[in-house]
Amino acid sequence: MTDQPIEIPARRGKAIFVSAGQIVTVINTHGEQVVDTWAFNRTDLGEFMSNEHTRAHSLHLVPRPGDVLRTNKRRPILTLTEDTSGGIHDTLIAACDRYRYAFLGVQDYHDNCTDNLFAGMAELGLKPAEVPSPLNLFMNIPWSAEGQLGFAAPPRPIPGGYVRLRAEMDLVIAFSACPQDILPINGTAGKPVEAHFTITDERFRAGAGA
Amino acid sequence: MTSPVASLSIPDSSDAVYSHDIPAERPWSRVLKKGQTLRIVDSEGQQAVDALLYCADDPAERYSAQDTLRVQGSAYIELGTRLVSNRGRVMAHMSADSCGRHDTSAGCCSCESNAVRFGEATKYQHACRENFLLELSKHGLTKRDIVANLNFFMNVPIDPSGAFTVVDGISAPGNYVDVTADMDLLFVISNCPQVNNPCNGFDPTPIRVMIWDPPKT
Amino acid sequence: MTMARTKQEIAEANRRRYEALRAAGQELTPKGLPEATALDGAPIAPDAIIGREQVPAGWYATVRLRRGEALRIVDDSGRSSVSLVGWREEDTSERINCADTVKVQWSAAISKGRVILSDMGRVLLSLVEDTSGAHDLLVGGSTPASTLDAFGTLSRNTQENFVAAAAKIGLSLRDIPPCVTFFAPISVDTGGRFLWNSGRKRAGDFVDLRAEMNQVLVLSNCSHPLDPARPAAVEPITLIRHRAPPPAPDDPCRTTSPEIVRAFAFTDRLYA
Repeated sequence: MTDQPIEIPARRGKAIFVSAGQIVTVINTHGEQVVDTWAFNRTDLGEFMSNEHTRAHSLHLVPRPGDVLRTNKRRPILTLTEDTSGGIHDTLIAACDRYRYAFLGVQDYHDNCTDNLFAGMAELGLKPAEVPSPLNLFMNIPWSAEGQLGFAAPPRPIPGGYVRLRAEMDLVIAFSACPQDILPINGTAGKPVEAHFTITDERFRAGAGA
Repeated sequence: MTSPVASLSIPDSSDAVYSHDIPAERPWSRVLKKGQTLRIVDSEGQQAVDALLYCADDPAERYSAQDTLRVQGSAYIELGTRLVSNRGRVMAHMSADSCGRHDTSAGCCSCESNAVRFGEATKYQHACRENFLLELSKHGLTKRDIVANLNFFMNVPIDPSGAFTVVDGISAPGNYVDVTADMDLLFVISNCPQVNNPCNGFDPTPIRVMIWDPPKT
Repeated sequence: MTMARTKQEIAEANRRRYEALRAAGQELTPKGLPEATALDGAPIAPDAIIGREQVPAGWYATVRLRRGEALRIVDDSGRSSVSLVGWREEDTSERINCADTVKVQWSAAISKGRVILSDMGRVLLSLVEDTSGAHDLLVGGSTPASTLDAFGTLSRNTQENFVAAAAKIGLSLRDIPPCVTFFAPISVDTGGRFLWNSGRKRAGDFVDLRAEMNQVLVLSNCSHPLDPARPAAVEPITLIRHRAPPPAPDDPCRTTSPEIVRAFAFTDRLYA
């Protein structure tokens, strides 16, 4: 457990073990950075947080406080308990990969969330068998009544805004500070930056007043 | 900054149902009917015009600067800004603006605040609050009814650190704003007398007000 | 010998004076402001405490302070915001004025060492302790419409709290001026939009407000209308009324700028 914020470096990934009952707080430090998020059953990487299974039960396109995030075996893996980040997240868009940037006209290698997932997990000696559809925290993918999607900038930055997730099983959580710098999802300046997270045992209270 | 754009249907002055030049440093008020448009013209440039609005049926309901800024999510009064009351209703809206940006956070000058800001010698200089008190008394209202006002043609940038500065106005001679009433309201103006800061270019000047009826549908 | 000055000369002299005040107010004064209070700093001596109460989320409290008493407001959970309005005890037509507070101090960002002014050129409250420095003077408190907007349902709100509190002391809607909200980290971006800086809120943040005149205050413990936190705070806040130490000659709140020195001189005259 550490209440000291751990950095998800700009354009990079980070993964960590979390025990059931612990609280993960994912902090949008500068207010506009997308953080792709995955969670795996610690004892079986074949069971992982699944957007499609979650949506079937929550009936929300965007998770909100109180929503249970479920695995591909429909078991609760995380509960979203609190959101001060403005409530805008995405569950529809796949993690970016090197091929995504080829479509965007990039000739050479471009950092990407898929490679970041593998790199973050490799630091723990783990290798997922596939890349699950990520929970894209702080990502603005608006939809119209006609079903049209768009890639949009965050409507208003909320520096220090965060999401709290309570672990419902022993798990590995992995993050990628999305390196997208061509589309405006990380802010109109298109500048990927770092984000942070903390792992705490329960709601941690600092200070005691007078 | 928004580029100055007047509404396409600029009323022709000859259609105005009312026109009046307000001398420098003087107050003015009039009841506007719902749908009427008031034009305030900065005749000689760089003149701050302080304004308050009251619901004609119940003056306890009046213009609220904080409600207005909260609803629009931003700090400056511009073309399109809806002027919101302390009961959350839209009283009027900015329907034309040839200047670009106005203030509603700096309040009005007063003898008492002048004495604090510039020294006791300035206590006996005429100020907007004196104008408001005199004009409001004609309508049975008192100092309790003076709250944060609009400041047309006044340039008060607020920077991300919080630094708050009244700077030289950007308004050129002939600039105007149009305010269209969304309810019957009492519109009160103080043609600001302040000479101690740049809001009037250190030189208070006359302004013109004109009123049009709503366009016939 | 006095010489008659032309209008031009007076205007130029006023411009120079204004520029000198602006430079001092925006460049010099902020450097001299005290550091923020530590979260575990400024303990109140038990025998200085006059009263202590908790205000539940959504509710308000009315507090009378005599000059020289102080009120500590504590954001125990780090999720609350507290809006405040106040009137001079002896004459309730004199009340808090946020516009003068911002204009006279050249900043919308009040913090330790700053003051809150009344509309009569006098000091209502001094911010003698402040762990946060992140408060809002521009946007105001919640209203029925803002809670409907934020939560999809009408909730308790600051506007109605102020109306109820005012009515209990013989005042009405007319008497409710724009309010200050503590622990509401609002700033203005370069495009003029309001930003909420979530990272500036912490559990245990507090402010100590020293009364510079006899006054009645109303505190409302309701979420700020631009606070994005969901769910909204449900925790109470703590109010501690206590006797503040008498200000020393170099009291930081009394000495920040020539404008503030004058405001205190005018306030002291009420009690001479």
